[in-house]
Amino acid sequence: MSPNNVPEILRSKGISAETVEALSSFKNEPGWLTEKRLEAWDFFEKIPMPTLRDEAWRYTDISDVRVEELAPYAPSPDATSEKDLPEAVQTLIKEGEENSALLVQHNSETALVRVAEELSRKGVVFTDLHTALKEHEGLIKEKLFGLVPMDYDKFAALNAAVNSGGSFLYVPRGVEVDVPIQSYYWLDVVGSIMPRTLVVLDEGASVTYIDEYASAYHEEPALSNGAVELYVGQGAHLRYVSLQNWERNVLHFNTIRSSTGKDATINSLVVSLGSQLSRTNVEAGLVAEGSDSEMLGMYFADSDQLLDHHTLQDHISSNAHSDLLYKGALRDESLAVFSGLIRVEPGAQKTDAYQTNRNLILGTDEAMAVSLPNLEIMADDVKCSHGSTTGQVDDVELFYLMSRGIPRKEAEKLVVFGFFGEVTSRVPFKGLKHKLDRAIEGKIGLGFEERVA
Amino acid sequence: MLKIENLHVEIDGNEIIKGLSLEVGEGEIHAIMGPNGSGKSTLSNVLMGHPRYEVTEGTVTFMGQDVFELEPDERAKLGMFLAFQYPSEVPGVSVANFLRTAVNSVREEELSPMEMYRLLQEKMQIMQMDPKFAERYLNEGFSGGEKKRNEILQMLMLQPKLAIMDETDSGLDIDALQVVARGVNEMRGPEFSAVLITHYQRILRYIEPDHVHVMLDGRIVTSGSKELAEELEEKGYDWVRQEFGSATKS
Repeated sequence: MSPNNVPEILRSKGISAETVEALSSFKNEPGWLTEKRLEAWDFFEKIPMPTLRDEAWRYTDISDVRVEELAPYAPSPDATSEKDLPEAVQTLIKEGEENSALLVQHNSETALVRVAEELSRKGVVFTDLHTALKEHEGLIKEKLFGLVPMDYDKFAALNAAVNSGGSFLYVPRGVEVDVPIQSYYWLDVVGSIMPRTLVVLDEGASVTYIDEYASAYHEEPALSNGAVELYVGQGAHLRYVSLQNWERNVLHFNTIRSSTGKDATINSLVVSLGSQLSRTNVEAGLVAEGSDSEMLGMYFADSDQLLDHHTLQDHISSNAHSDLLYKGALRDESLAVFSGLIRVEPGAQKTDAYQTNRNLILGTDEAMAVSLPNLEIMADDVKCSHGSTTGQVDDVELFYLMSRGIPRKEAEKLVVFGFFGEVTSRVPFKGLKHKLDRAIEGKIGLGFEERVA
Repeated sequence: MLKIENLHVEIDGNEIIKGLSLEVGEGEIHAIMGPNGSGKSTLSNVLMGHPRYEVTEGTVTFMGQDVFELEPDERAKLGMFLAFQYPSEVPGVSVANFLRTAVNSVREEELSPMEMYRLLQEKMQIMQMDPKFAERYLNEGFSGGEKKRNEILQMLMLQPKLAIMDETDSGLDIDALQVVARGVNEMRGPEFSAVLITHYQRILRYIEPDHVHVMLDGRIVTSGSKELAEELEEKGYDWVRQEFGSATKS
């Protein structure tokens, strides 16, 4: 799609009902979707922007976010092969996990989709949402907005109204995909992107899917506002990774919701490293017996970053299991918020649910970690526990390591790697693990040493 | 090799070490015995550079260098080692990973993974440790005996010139004590010195000291040969208090 074809109104600042219609018609969408988008826009306009007075936004000040000053759509140059992609994206791909299918979204548009022939033969569908609509309209109509509905919150409404690009992954019954499938979202202009991920796994299917977000730095603020819907069918197994590593001018909002069928398993890993402000909602709906959700999270905040995670383990059915572990490190003047809820609905007997949040503060009194674990239990035969700790790197622990000849900085690195190891050791991907290790190393970087000393 | 002169140490404004002097020569094993609260552990921690103690007076030199000018890791590189009474737990860091980092730091050269593996296997065998032990997180969930063995394993891996052993014998059964003693005796030679800090004479049956010092109220009140330890065992610390207690009041 060359930039010239993009209607002027989509590239101009501000969003209105006309923008929403123009986008839908530009993408040749069916009428029902245009209607949905308009309905979502209407809802967006009706509800106020959340403020610090709202319980769910008590620590996350978004009064600076000016949606009306952003263009809803940013075109990108065409790419016919990986060689045409920006060099930075080629590096991301090279350093990323080995993949059997790849999608690159450059700004608001899909730059590249590649799917291994073997996957297509088995009926696996992987492409952007616009393309997918042409051949799988029925399935998309049934599932889209089912888990992240427009009335979820203000940002979900905005995404429902003006999402573009995005990805659609469908794995048919019984198909097991061994090599991960990967999407990269690359932003190199000032503006906004509104990606939407829809993953549908049929009965007994299994796959690993990774969404990774990265950008080129700009002075002006940019916005990424995503929604991720993950349907895991009966006995199916999904590993989902979200890796957010935006430059510091980006504001990141994302809602990831899953539903797991009977005996289905989802393992999610949400990593937040970049952006100025990042708010991610991660919700697992355990809707059928025997379903299992492992929720891992990792964040590392520095300078004046704000990284906010809200999680929900929603036990709707009986005999389901969920285990959440979110670990974060903080330095400088950063703020991290973790708010987690285990909700056991009436009748969800034999629920087994755990939630742990741990924060490690590195050599500063200025950083703050807010940890709000919560339980809401409406059944009587359940096993639930939650815990939260926040602490400094222990100077006696450092002394112990240093007394063995390990220099202070190396010792700190060991402690931090050890701290995150509890999460990374549960991630069975070499490439991803390596990427995370390097990101942590970069974050520890210079400056920390002097602060601790 | 190690020279302590008129050392005074405080923690939170309380003076714990009150003018202690001691000289340890090359190849010598010294035992420092004393009742609880006499300042034995403070001495060992301060020699290694524990962050919570403050040295208010005196000097300590090791191999001719002022140790208070050195960070703990620099003291280790110079050849000092402390076997901790209460080693820290470091979650997520395996014993193998920790030892690899430590050995490479102290040697200031990288051993190949194979050399490192062989070295570790050899030393673990001496300490009668299961190879699986190396994969466990450092001191996390270790029993008291495992922690002590792990300290001696680290000593064997790092090959220090001087080992300070802070009550390494406490809480060990006789079998574990013998294993620990074997580790120390393994190191014994003209280039290895040790300061054994202990409450009991028991460990000295397995590691024979050249000199025995008795510590009371932050000072060394008497010194002698290994027979002094036996006398102490026989007469108890009350005898020390009666004999030397008044001398410590100044």
